[in-house]
Amino acid sequence: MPRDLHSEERTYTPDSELRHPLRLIRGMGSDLVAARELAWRLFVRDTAAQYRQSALGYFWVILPPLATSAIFILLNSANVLVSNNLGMSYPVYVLTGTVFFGLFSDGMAAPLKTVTASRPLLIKVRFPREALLLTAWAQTLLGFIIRIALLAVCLVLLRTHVAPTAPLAIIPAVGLMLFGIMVGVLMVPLGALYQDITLGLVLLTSALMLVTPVAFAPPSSGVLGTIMHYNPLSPLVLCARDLVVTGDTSNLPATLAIMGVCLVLFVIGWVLFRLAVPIIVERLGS
Amino acid sequence: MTGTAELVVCSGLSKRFCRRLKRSLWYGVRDVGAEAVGRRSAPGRLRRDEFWALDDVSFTVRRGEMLGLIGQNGSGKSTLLKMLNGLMKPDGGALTLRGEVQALIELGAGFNPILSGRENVRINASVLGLSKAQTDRVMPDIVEFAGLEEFIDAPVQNYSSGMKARLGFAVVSQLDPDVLLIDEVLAVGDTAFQEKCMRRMDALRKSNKAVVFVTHSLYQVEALCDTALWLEHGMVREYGPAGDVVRSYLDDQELRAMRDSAEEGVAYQGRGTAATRAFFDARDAAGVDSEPARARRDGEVVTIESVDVLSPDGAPCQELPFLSECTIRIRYHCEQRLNEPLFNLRFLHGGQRLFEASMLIDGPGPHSVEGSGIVECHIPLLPLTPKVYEVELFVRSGKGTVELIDTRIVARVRVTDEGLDAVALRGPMAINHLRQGSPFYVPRTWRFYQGSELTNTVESRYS
Repeated sequence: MPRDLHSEERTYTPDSELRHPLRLIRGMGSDLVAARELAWRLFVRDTAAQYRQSALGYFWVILPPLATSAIFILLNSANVLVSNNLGMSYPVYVLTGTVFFGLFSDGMAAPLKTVTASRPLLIKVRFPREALLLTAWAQTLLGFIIRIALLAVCLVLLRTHVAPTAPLAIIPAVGLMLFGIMVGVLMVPLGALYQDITLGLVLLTSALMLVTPVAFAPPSSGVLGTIMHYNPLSPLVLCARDLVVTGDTSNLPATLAIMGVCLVLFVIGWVLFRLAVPIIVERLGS
Repeated sequence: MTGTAELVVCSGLSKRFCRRLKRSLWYGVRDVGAEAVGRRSAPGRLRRDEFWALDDVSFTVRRGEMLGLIGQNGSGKSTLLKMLNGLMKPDGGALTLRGEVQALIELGAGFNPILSGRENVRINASVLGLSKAQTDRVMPDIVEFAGLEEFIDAPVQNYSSGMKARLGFAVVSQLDPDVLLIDEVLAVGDTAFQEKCMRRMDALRKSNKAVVFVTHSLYQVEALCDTALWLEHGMVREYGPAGDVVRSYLDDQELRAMRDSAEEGVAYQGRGTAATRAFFDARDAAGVDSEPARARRDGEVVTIESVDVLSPDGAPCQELPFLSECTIRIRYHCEQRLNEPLFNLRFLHGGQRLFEASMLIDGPGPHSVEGSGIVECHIPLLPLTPKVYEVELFVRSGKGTVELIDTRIVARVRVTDEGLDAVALRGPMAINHLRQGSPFYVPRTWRFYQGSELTNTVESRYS
């Protein structure tokens, strides 16, 4: 089939792509479509490569949330933490907290991880860069499925009464992933250039976990209480947990509003990512 | 119409790089920031520690044309290729590409070591835009091309670097784009694999694509490319028909080599009379001091004052046209009467002796010489191919048994490819082979017979 050459004409100039917003949006759309199959391959590659050289294999996906929960349960049993009026048993509280917060932290780390893993390809081959974003989503989704399964098993083992609203928890769960990936994508331009970002990410994750109602209920007063109150992650985690355990939907409107903001910021991050990749390639060299 | 379509149009392309990593990263952040607000970062000028990796580069590649990119390491070839591949943005000028562009680059580096060859091929094929169905269809060809049938399911970390490179090339060799960018891939693998690559390249050349080819092999540029672009420090030194650019490039390399060896103090002193004299004075002084007995044997002393290579029109020169006459003029001085001196000139290339113009063969000259004099050696036709040659001089006594001076290089002469038109250059690597091959050129005729009937004659055409 003869191709129309002019439809494939590309001109590179020093001008920012933002000067031609229509062309930019068209490019984003067509690259997203073109990237699907590649994203799947990269996802399979990264997942397979990640655990092939380990004895425990995929067990590593569920080990971190289990370990975190165990630590907090231990701390709680020693009465180190103040955790009254939870409305549920502490192990259920902390398990749901770590699982749902994990969706956010996984999402936040994923974009930079996929960019780093594909660096040799990135600097040598021109492929639809959206594939990297899709791969980040796929990785986070894989974590999501495994974590939700883990949570289900644990809730059964703990003989927890699950609320009928539990399936609705998928909304805040997706919101947490979106929130994480949005932050992660926004960090890519800086994070691909400076390793400080990758190194700081671990610290940031721990810090965010402490100011989010993961392992203890938000204090009603004090600095921590104020931070937790204004932390946009709090409604999402609380909403998800409530929908699963108590059936309380009071955090749902806030969750939806935050998700809307995250979606807008994600698209901005995506544009920034597209603009930044050629500069990253140029600075990282061969 | 599409037969002559310009698929690559590069006009005034510029790219700047930064020498220091920390500053480079910081500029990167600022550039992203500028992009994000729709502006250009520091347009048209260099910031601190920056240099132009590409400076005002312009060329076009039409459909069916193959462009060779040549230049020293660090001249900007790979940078240019990356920009053609859309991996980097220009800092100046514009670049237009029509049709599908693919880079045939060494992909082995992108392989994941833990995964098998087959898995890596699937990933690479996908990165290069092949669908799953297409990949499945060409997989046997890829494995066969790479010659890795036995190892394709082994982890890539067990592959040798040659195997990786072969597999990487095999994947890209299956592509069928309009514009193909090739970076030095033919330097990998053994002879058999290189042969395979050359055949593939030849097929590409005939398949009506626009090809840009980076290489260090001038033979390949001459044999495969229509046009060539010579980059030096990011700037276009020459752009034109491949043969012309290759000739200029070889000229430059030879001149550079001559200059370098002169700077290293290799005894090249054929340049000017004054310099020659100073050199020989110093040498002779040293020689007299260290070996007085031999130098003054029989009371014969000869001082070489200068040696000049004369061009056909009789002027001292350093360069001679191809297949021209050549005269070497030696000015000498004898303090005392010298009986039957025998002058000998020896031509060398890269330290290897080629031939001698020797009075040890040709016979004695004047019965005796005294004071200052000149001896010229005229060679009616110098049978040497375009290269740089050294000329050694030694002088023997009448019986040939005593060396009157130390054997020394007295001149360096470069045979240029001026006058190359006198010979047939119909072979695919004529220029390179003539210039980089063996030093002698002899006229010849090739005759082909079918039974006893003469069917073909190939003349080297040389008068």
